[in-house]
Amino acid sequence: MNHPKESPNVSSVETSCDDTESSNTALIQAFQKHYQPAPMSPFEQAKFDWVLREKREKRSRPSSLLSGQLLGIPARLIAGLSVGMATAVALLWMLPNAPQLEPSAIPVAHETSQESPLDPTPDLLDMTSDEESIVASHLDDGISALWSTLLSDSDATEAETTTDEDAITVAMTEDWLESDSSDEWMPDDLQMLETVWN
Amino acid sequence: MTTATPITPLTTPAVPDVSLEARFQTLVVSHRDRAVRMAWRLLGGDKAAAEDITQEAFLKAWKALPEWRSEAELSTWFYRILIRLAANHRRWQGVRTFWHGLMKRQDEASLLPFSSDQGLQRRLAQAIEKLSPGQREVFILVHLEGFSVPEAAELLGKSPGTLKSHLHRALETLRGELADIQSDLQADLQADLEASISGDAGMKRVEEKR
Repeated sequence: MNHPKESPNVSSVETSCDDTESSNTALIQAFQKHYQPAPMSPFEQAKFDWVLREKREKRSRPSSLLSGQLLGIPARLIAGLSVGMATAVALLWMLPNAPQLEPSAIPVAHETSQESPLDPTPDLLDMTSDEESIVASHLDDGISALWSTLLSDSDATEAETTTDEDAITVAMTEDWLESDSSDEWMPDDLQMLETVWN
Repeated sequence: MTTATPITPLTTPAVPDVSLEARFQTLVVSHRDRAVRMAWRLLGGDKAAAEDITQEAFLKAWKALPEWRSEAELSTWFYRILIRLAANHRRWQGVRTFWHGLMKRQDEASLLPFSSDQGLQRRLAQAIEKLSPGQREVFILVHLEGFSVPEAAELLGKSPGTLKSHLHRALETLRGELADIQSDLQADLQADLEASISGDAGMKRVEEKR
C-alpha cells in the first residue's frame, strides 16, 4: 500500500535530522580545533611546574627562597651570595645549560629538539637528582668552581651554623623580597628570559 | 668496633613504596596540559587564570594525596576540584575582569575577518558565552574534553539525564549563534575528512610499495 503523501514528509524529517547531525558535527569539530589554547611549550611547562612548586613551598613556609627549599637549592648554596647572584643561580638551576650558550647557538624551534641545549627537559629539572652532579654537568666552569667552593665549605658549616656574613645576606635578601612584591619577582625574570629565548 | 648491619626483614617489598612526592609529580605531569586546557576553556580563554586555577587544584590535590590510594579516583577528584574552582572563579573573583575582557574581545572580534583563525576562535568564544554555566560545562567536558556523559555526570554531581538535556540545548544555542558561518564550518569539516581519506590512501600506497 502506497502512502504518497507520507513519503516526502518522512524524507524531509530524515534530511532535517541529517542536517542537524551534520551541523552538530561541524560545530563540535570547529570548537575542538579552534577553541583551545596553544599547547604549552617545554619552557611553559617548566615555568608552570616551578610556580606550582613555589606556591607549595610558600604556603607551607613563607621564606621558602631563604630556607633554601626553592627549586630544591640547598640553603648553604645560596647563603652568602648576592641577591643578583642568587637570582642567577635560581635561573640557571631552571635552565641548566644556559651559561654555555652563545646567542648564535639558540635554536629557532627548541620545542622540536630533545637535544636542544636550552630545552629544560623534565629530567634536568628533576630536583630529586643528585644536586652536585646537576650543577657540575650543566653550569659552566666558573659557576662550577663557585659551587665546589661552597660545597666544600658547607661540609663544615651546615644550615644551622650559618656565618654572620650569610645571615646578613639572607636578611638583605629578605628585605629585598618584602619590598619588591615577592610574588612577582621570579616570573618577571622568567618572562624576560623567555623573551630573550624566543 | 664494627657497626651491625640491620637485617632487612623478608616482608620488605623489593620495590620501595612510591613516595607522595613522586605520586604528586606523576599527577602533575600526567594531567597538567589537559587540566590547563580544560580550565582555559571553562574560563573563556583566560590563560593566566587557567594556569592559576590549575595550580590551585594541584595544591588541593597535594594536601589530599595521602587520603587517596587509587590514582584513578584521585584524578577524578582532581578534575572535580578544578571544575569547581573554575566555576567559583567565574562566579565571584573574575566577574569584573571577565566582562571587561569579553567586551574588549567583542570589539576586537568585529574587526577581525572570519578567515583568520583568531577571529574564528573569538566567534566561538562569544557563542559559548551565550550558554548557561551548566550547558557550557557539559559541552566542554563531553564534546571538547572527551569525557563520557556518565563521567561528566560524576564530575559535575548531576544526573546523566540532566546532562543530556543540557547538551541538546547547548548545541541548539550554538547552532543558532553560529548560523551565519555554518556552511563555512561544514566546508572545513568536509575538507578535513577528505584530507584524512587522502592521507589514509597515501599510507596504503606506501604500505603496498613496501
